[in-house]
Order: sequence, then C-alpha cells, then structure tokens
Amino acid sequence: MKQRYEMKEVVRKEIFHSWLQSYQGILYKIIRAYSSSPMDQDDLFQEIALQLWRSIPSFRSEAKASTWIYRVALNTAIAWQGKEKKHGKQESIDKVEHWIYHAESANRDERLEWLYQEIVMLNKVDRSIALLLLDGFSYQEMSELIGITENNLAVKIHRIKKHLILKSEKYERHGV
Amino acid sequence: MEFDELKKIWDNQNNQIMYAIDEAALHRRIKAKRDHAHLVTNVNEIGLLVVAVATGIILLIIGKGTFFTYLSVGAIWMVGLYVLWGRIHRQKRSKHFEKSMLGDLEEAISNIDNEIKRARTFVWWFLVPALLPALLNIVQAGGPWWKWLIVPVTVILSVPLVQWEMRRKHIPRRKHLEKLREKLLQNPADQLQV
Repeated sequence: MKQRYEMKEVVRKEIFHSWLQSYQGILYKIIRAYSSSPMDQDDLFQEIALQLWRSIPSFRSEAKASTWIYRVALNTAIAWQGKEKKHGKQESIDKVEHWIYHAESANRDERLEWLYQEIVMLNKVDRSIALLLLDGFSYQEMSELIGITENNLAVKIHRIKKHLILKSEKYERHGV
Repeated sequence: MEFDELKKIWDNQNNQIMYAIDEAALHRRIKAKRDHAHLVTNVNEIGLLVVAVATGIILLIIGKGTFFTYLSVGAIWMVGLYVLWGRIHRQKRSKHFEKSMLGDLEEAISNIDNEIKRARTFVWWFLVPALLPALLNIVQAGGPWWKWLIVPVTVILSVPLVQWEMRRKHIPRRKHLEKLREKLLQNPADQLQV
C-alpha cells in the first residue's frame, strides 16, 4: 500500500504549505472574485485547497508555481461557480469536512472594494482575464491559462480595460 | 482613473493571511472515521465469537448428546474459528497501512470492505455450516413440525437483515470515504478548462 503513493506525503505537505503561504494572495483574489458570502468563500477555499493538494504530483518544477496555482484555482473557481448555480447549496463532502478557519481580515481600501465589485460583475471568463491582467501576467501566459488565442484575448482585454476605466470615472464622479 | 491607477490600487492590497488550513482537524476527522470502522469490525467479530462459543456450550448442556448435537457444536465452533482466523489476518494487514492521513483513510476503507465481504458471504460461512447440522438435529430428534420451521425462518429473517445493514451502513460509508480519498489523490490540472 505504501508503494501506491508516488510522492511521499511529507514532501507533498511541504509543497502544499509553502504554496498556501507564498501564494495566499492569489487564492484570496480569486476567491473574492468568484464568491460573495463568507460561507461561499469558505466553500470555494476548501475546494481550491483540495484541488491544489491533488495537483501537486503533476506539478513540474520547470513551470512557475504562481501560474500553476492560478490555473488550478481559476479552473476550480469557474467549475465551482457553475456547480453552485446548477445545484444550489448542495450538501457536499467538502462541507462536511470543515477543516479551515478564517484568520483576521485585512483593513480594506474602499477603492479596492469597488474594484472587486466591478470584477465580480464581469462574466466568468472576463473575470479571469481581469484578475490575470491586474496581476501582471503576459498575453502569452494568459492565453495559455485561459485557453483562448492571443488575438481574441487582446480584444477582450481592450474591452475590459475600457469598461473598468469608464466605471472608475463614474465612481470618482458619483462614488458609485 | 487610468488602468495603471487601477493596477496600483490592486497591487496595494496587502497579503494578510485570510485562510489557513487546519490540517490537524482534517486528520482528526479521518482518524475518527478509521476508529469508527475499526470499532464496528471489532464489535462484529467479538460478537460473533461470543455467539459461537456460547451457542456451542448451550448446545452441549441442553443437547441430548447425539451425533447431531456434537456435529452442531463442531460446526458452530468452526464458524467461530473462521471468524478468529479472519480477525487475525485483518489485524496483520492493518499494520501495513501508513501512519498518515491517506494511510488512515485506506485502513478505514479496508475495514469497511471487510464488513461488506463478510455480509455478502454471510450465508456460506455462517448460516449453512451453523444451521444445517442444527436442522438435521431437530429433524432427527423428531417432535412437532413447527420446530422444523425455526431454522428456515431464521435464515429468511437474518439474510435480509444483514443485507440491509450492508446497503444502509457499510456501502454508503465506504462511498463517502472513497470520495474523500479520490479528492486527496487525484489531479485536477488537466480536467478543468475555462
């Protein structure tokens, strides 16, 4: 039975903890962009954490960990959102296995709250693009992560930027 | 605001810890599941052993000392020995599981598998060897016809009860643990695409 686990659990744990520690910012942004209530955020975090754990044996060190984590987390968030919409609040094994807790939430900038609200209102693909764009990913990386051509991506990015700039002007003028 | 300003707002968000994994809590839960499966198996095994020994002794005390009485006692004690043999094997097997989250999960699943296997083959390792000599004993001793019915009625009642326990308890519990194991082992990177 021991031989069945290709990767030693202790190594897997180390990688998992270092990912969670080093890239919690990425996870937080994605969770905020794809879920609203604290309960949903808990649920999505559990799902992403489990998927990251499962993905560790396939991770190749030549790849960038941040890109890998973004990929797994975004895919999970999109799938999770679809599942939530389809099945509503279904009792899942993850909900039974409560194994996370919240730490202190950060003091937040009002403009950042506004920006998150705007991102949440985008469709799920545009939301992913907005997150990647704001986090400084290149067109090539984004194209690979999302699975659309760079040309198509450029059009979407142009539209998203224009939309956010327009919304920011309204926000500055009217506070909405 | 220009997009660069939006990016500055974005970049300024701090990276305080928002979530943390309580891995110890997950492991505790898995251990509790393993211990529960272990307890169920222990209760069943020890219960069967006690029943086999006690039934044999009762038969020796109240029986008429015929060949069929001794055959019944021998058969029921053989069932007890089979349960004991299975228990020793299971305990040996359980030492091979890793002392880890996945190892504990595997052990819990293995214990449930043991119970499912036992329930599925219940007729062959318990009912037939234990009740056939008892039936022959009753028939040979003569007496009213309704006494002869006790054995088939016991069979008819006990089989669905054991099957019910397997379907309602063991199989769902196994599925639950299997799902959790899959979640911990599988790789999702290639499964999901935007």
